[in-house]
Amino acid sequence: MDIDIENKQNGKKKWIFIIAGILILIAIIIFAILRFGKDSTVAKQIGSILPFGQLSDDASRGDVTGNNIEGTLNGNTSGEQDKPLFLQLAQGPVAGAINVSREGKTYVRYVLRENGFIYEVDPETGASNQLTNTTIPRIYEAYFGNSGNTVILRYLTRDELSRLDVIKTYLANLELPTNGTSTTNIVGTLRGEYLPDNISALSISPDKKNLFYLLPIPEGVSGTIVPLQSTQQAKEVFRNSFGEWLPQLLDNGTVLLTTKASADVPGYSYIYDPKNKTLERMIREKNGLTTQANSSGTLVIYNENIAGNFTLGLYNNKVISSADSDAQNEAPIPLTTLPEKCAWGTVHHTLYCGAPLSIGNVKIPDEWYQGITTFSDLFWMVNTDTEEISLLADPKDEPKRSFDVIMPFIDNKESFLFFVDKNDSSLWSMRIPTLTQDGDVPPIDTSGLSPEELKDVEGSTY
Amino acid sequence: MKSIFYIFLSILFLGTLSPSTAFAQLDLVNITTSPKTPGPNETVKVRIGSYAVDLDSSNLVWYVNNEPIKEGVAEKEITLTTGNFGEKTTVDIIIFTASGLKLNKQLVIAPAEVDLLWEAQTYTPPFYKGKALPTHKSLVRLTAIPRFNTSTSNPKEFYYKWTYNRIQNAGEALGKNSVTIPMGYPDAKVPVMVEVSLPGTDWKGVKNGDIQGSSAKVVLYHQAPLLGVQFGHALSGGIRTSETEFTIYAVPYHFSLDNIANNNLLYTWQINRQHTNSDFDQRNLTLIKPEKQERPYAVSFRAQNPKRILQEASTQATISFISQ
Repeated sequence: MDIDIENKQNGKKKWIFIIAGILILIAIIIFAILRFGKDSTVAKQIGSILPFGQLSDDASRGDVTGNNIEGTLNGNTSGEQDKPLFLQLAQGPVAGAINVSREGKTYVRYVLRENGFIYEVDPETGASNQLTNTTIPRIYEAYFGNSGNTVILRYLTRDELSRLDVIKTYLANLELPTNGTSTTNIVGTLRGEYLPDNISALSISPDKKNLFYLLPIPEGVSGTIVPLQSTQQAKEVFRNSFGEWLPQLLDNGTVLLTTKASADVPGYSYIYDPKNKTLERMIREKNGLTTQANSSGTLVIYNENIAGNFTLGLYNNKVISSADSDAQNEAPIPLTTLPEKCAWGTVHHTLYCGAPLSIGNVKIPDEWYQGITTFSDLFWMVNTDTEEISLLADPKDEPKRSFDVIMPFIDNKESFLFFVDKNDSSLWSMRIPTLTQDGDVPPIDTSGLSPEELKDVEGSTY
Repeated sequence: MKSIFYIFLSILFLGTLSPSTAFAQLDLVNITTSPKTPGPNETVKVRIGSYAVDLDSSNLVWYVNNEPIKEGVAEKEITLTTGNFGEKTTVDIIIFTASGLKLNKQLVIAPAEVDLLWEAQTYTPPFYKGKALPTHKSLVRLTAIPRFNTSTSNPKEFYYKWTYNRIQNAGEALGKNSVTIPMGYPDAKVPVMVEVSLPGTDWKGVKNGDIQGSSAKVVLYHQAPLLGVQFGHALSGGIRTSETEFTIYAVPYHFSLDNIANNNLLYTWQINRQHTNSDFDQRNLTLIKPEKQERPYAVSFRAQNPKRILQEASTQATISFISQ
């Protein structure tokens, strides 16, 4: 009898230990997820040994239901679901911006057009800090490099003798009080040097380490590469009698050179290799041609004006060979937009674009560059592997305004699309909707679209 | 009888492309052409050779662009003519050796090409990403980019001969890969041609093109005190402003650069059809908000180039000052 009681007590103790053990295990898992994040190795390793399998993205992001896109598509918690899909990040007109990553968080640094001050804003909260107070008024273009710690400011002065405009290009480092962070209210300054006057075009490599600029010379144009961490090592690498190029410096040091575009003029695109001085043609004789390559130059999106119809295309540089025709490298993307209104994704083979449903009978890109015509963009995602297109958002629903996207870029986690609205140079973020379990974008409300627009949208997948 | 022969050859050809073909031995056979890098529309000798395969005792079948051309023992050479620019010529050779081995070899001849780029010496504003367009009697600089392989060679090694308007010589010389020509009337085309050759070889290329003339245009922009000229947003139609001053900046697109640099252009501003003086900079006009409510300012602007009289353009906009 005593033995039975003792056995029962031992059994109870055993169950208590088992339950306590399970509770401790659950507590460890929750702690690991909160501390290291669901994508961390620790969390994944724990998930792999659980009987119920891996921690899925969807499980941690919550269910997505309903058709309303307003701040409900990308929340990790119920609190995040209340965050707006679009957020204006700067109150004044912006000349340029970059995303910087610090302690796992994404921030956006931007330059105000009116005075050249640099700010840093948290796209989650919209809270911003002023980083510099060096005043340079009327900035037209700003580019960041070197992890956001170098800035190139472009503005105009007037030559009093000739009364002609002179483009000034100021390359400066941000001298911040606390190692590049903005945790203090003390504002830093800019210290730098001027590059030559009247640089016609410039490009910073996707890794933000190097700058390439074109300078008109009597014989044509000269191209120079500047390592941003040691600007004294600037080196002229290119000379050509043709000067009307738009350059894009790639991470491997080559430069995509595309002729400046007009709607009815055939354009060409070349890859220039500064090491062996070769100019290899990629895309040829396409009216209104403009381009944008991914960071390695293996894929290039381009646009073409065919009998007044404006189309986007994807050029695959990987399959090029002397035996292949150009057509084998080219595939149409059924979006009506310009490559510069798109940003390459950093994680997947994706492309994020602002694109209107249609463009009227206007000369593109001329009249868009001249500010005569504007676009009212929807936001799209293109899978460049499958050529599948998904509609991400229609800003006419929320925030109930029209965007003409320029300077788009993506954060490293591909959570946000940042862009400037060409209408007023305002800086915005858009939360990129989380994909469903099937890899699709959650459905959005298309009730505001006209029947014709709806027909166009239904041609895409969403 | 001839068609049966071709059908037989085609079946034989397809059969040789099966996976069982001895592809591993293909490098034993080499193909040479004369000239080494053929140009377009050019006669080319194609010859195969081998140190490992006895071609003199082998039966050889030649195809050009999938059409059977020649067949026979020890037939190691054919002559063909390449296509136009951009067209490819594919040569397939099937080899049946005396020992019963089947081999095939392929050669693709891509014709040499010349890209012809041009840039008008006309004005566009700073930071403009579009192309400057040629207008009445403006100058245009032409540049040839020859390519006889996948990448361009040094353009200075080639000899260039330039022609425009079909008969007018624009110059020729070694290394002269760029010339400047004048345009004609607005909306008229100017045909241009460049012939390129590599001295000491048979390599040649030619490229024809038309340069379409355009009309000059003027576009008005707001010049904001703190932001500068708002190039991204043209003023047109009715503009409403709550400011007390409003400065308009006029951009003369596609007027000749030399005339702009020499201040040859004439600018005329009108407000409500009355001539008015511009600011110190003739391309600027500042409007002041009237003390009492008046009708909107109907502003028109005209630019003329007296040196090239058909380079002229005008535009207008209406500015209304509103109370905040």
